[in-house]
Amino acid sequence: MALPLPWRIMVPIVAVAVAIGISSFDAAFPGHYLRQLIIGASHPWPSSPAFHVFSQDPVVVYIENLITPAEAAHLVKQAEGRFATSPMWDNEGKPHVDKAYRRSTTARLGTAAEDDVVRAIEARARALPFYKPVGSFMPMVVQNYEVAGLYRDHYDWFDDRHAVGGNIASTFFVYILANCTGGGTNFARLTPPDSDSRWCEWIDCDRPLDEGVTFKPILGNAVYWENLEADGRTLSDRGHQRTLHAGMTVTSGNKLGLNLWTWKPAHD
Amino acid sequence: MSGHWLRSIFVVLLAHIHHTGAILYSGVDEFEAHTKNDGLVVVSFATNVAEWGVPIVTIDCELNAAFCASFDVASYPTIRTFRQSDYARYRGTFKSPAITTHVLQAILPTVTTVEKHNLPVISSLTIPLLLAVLPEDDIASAEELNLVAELLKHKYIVGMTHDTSLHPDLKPVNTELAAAPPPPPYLVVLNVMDEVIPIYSDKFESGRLYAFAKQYQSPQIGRLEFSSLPHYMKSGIPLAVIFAEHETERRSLAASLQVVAAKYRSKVNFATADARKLVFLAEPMGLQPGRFPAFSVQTSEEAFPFDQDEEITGKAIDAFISDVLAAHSLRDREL
Repeated sequence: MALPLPWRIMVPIVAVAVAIGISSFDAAFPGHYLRQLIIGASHPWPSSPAFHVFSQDPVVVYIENLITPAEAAHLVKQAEGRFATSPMWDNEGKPHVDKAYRRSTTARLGTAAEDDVVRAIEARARALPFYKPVGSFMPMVVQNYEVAGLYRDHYDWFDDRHAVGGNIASTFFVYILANCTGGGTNFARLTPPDSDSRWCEWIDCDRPLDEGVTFKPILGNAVYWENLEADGRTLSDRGHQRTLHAGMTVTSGNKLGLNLWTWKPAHD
Repeated sequence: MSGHWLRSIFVVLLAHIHHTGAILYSGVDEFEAHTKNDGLVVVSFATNVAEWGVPIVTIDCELNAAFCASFDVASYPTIRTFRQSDYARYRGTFKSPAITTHVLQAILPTVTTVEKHNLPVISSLTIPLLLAVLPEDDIASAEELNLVAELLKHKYIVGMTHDTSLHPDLKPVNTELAAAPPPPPYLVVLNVMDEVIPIYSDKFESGRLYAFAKQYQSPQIGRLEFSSLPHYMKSGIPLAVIFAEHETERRSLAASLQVVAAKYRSKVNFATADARKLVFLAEPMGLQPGRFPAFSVQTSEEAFPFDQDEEITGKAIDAFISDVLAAHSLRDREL
């Protein structure tokens, strides 16, 4: 079939856009498509990745296939034997343990220099068109939630960035093991979609409407969000109140989540 | 009757009620208590709808993981209502009255026949019951009610009874209604959130019935609680509060002020408050704590306490509210 000229030009562009998930990518980040294509070539995506922008304010994106099952298995193996009880952090950055509030164990992984998979994932994350590179990644950690494991409502940002020397600007939470029921990632202050929305593939549409949004833990997928309020094209130093989130109780099985945090140093 | 429901709908509870796995965490008691509580909710809900013959199936997703996954079940407890091969998700809270309401709304006819045995369940749902008491052969009134019921589908459960001996069972107990019920046909609104029972005994004509139903969709005299406080604050009109320490006292005072509440319906909200739980609200509302029952009106700027030495009667409160509104509107003009 002979298409008129403009269409013949459009077809390959549309095909590529669909392949990398732009079909469901809101037009809020114009100009990034090309960058995505160029960078994507040097850091190939594992398998048909797609990102779905759930919210613009705060920016919350669900990413399918951010990592491969093989990469996930590698990370699970690396974390083995390194787990210790997860602490909670106060505003001075001091840890304490409260198992009624946070029940999980945490393992710190090797750095990008030490582990090829860590390096590849960091590069891939940095290449995402919506990602704002306001600082460097903190060392990756893995959170292990077994039955009854949970992390109630919390923020990833600190109230006083000066006390801790900076702030956690954005978070990737990647599901590297998801043999579980429950264990979704809940944002209590975001508005859930209807029961028949296409989002129900990634959001648990059986949760009560007044509980906010609960993303499903699916192996290889990730939730990305910006913890700080936007400031034009960059991020401010103000924590975003609607990023309040929780790891819902794991009711059966086991969930392991990889945290990739962007650290924005305090300059003033 | 129940055979029909059997074919048309059934409810599946995809739950994980009993947990038997060895758990090594500390603080797991809370988790187990939670799943146990889910089980109690299911039992209570099942008892509620048993009368209507709704088949309820509970599935332990621990044992039937593949089946649950095929229905896209990612967490517990999950409720699905099935009608033939179609299913609907339930997005309300996991509490027995809310689940019962969800299911009964799906299966009850436009007008439900209410009798002594089903009254307790359908008058304690999360949406109010609009109940018509009709004479046996009053077809004209039944038709008027039908017209209204269609329009009120998602706001009310609409019920009809010929049983005039139901009065003692109507909750909250309305002394006036129990003592001298109007001759049928008449309407009452039974709402678990209302301290009183609004009654309509005028001409049985659909337009008027509809106006009455619309007016009493929200409680005539509600309850002041942490959850309802924002609603009252946002309404923009003064709030009259009846403080009393015991439920029976709150109910009887509310009943004695029902006529006054109706008179000032669009100008003042009325609510009762548990004087023991909400004692910290009494002082800001100009009342001396420890001297209850008491009455006070809160406007957006100030509180107007009713003299705590005086008895709370319909007549005294009517005069008092009239004065408060006059003072309030005078102040508005000065501003």
